[in-house]
Amino acid sequence: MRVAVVLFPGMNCESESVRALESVGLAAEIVRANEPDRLDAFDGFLLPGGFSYEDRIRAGVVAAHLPVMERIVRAAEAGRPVAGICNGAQVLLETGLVPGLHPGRVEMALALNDSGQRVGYYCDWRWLVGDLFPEPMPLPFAHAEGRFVTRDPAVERAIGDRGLIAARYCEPNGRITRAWPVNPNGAFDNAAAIRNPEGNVLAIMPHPERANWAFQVPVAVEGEWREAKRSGFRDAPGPGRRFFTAFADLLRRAAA
Amino acid sequence: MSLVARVHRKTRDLVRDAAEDLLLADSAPLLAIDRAERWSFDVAGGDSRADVQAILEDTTLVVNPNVHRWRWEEDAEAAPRGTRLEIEVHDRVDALGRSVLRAVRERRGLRSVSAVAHSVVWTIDLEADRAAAESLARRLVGEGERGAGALANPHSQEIRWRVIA
Repeated sequence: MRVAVVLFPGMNCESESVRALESVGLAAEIVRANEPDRLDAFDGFLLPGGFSYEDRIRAGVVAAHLPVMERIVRAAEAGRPVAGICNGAQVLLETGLVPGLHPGRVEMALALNDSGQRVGYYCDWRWLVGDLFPEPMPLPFAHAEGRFVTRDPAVERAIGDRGLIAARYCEPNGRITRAWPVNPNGAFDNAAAIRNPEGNVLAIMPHPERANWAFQVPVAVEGEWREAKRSGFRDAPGPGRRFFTAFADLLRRAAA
Repeated sequence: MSLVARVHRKTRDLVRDAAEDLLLADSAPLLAIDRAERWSFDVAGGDSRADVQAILEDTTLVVNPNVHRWRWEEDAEAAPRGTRLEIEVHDRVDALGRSVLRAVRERRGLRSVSAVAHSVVWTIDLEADRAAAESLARRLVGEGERGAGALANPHSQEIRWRVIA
């Protein structure tokens, strides 16, 4: 299975995303945004993190309006899996692919972090739980605009009713509490990752590619992952591996 | 009273350029586009205008003289070419406004300033009639199907726009 890691100028997590995809048996390749004709050859797409176009106008919007995204929209509509991490997630929201209740319409924003305690850029690790992570997993995040919001209560209701939140910020024991620091950015319903109703497009704000190996977990993260790090096996999988395993499963199902 | 300054970049504004590229790619009948930061100060007491001018000229909180130039909002701006569309975009979480307010009150001791608000104003001149300009405005602020929302996302931002024929 071949995955294109679609690189817009200013994104900066493409290499670690390729390595993480390869670690679950996928063939991954960086494809620049000005090479849309190459995309047809791929089974799925990953938009990595970073600062596409320096976040000009607002994060993700310039990339979302480029012709290459039309190709990705068509591929997504045909059922091919698409994932966006951090800035990639911002691009997917600005394109209208997530949550995708009314395809083509921008139904949400990733707004400036505002937890009541902190506003703006914030970088740390938090625990996540949900369909994507059935067991609570610690993942790093680093963003200024990571707060999933919509002005439309019907969209918010539909996201909840249809189970489109794939991961929520939680305590290490999996309990979901709204207050900072558990919810680091004030996202509604503690949303850290949202998918479309078809399940083939996912936007996630934390960075699983930065936690794909146990050695990447800092000692400040308590529990089994710290022990795994101390085990000394550099190739031991980290908590982010679950994301890439799920993405690989999705690709195989889509191709079947 | 409320005093409003508009701040432009002296140097090339790459955000403006990005917006121009998006509009041209979208076949907008563009004649000119300008971007300014709009800073509104609520000030009470004697020499309000001088207080705000001091914030703008004696500190670099809002205006860095190496990069920016500023003017009072009511001062004359360039005459429209064609139909002028003005779009103001204000983040619902006004982190910049909050930060500047705290700085001027707590660090500069200007207790007369009670509120600071920051937004971005896009001034767009179009070779189009009023109806076409209104239609473009709605598209640029996120009303419509795919490709809308180049200048604003209504889920996180407050938007005001008007056509100046």
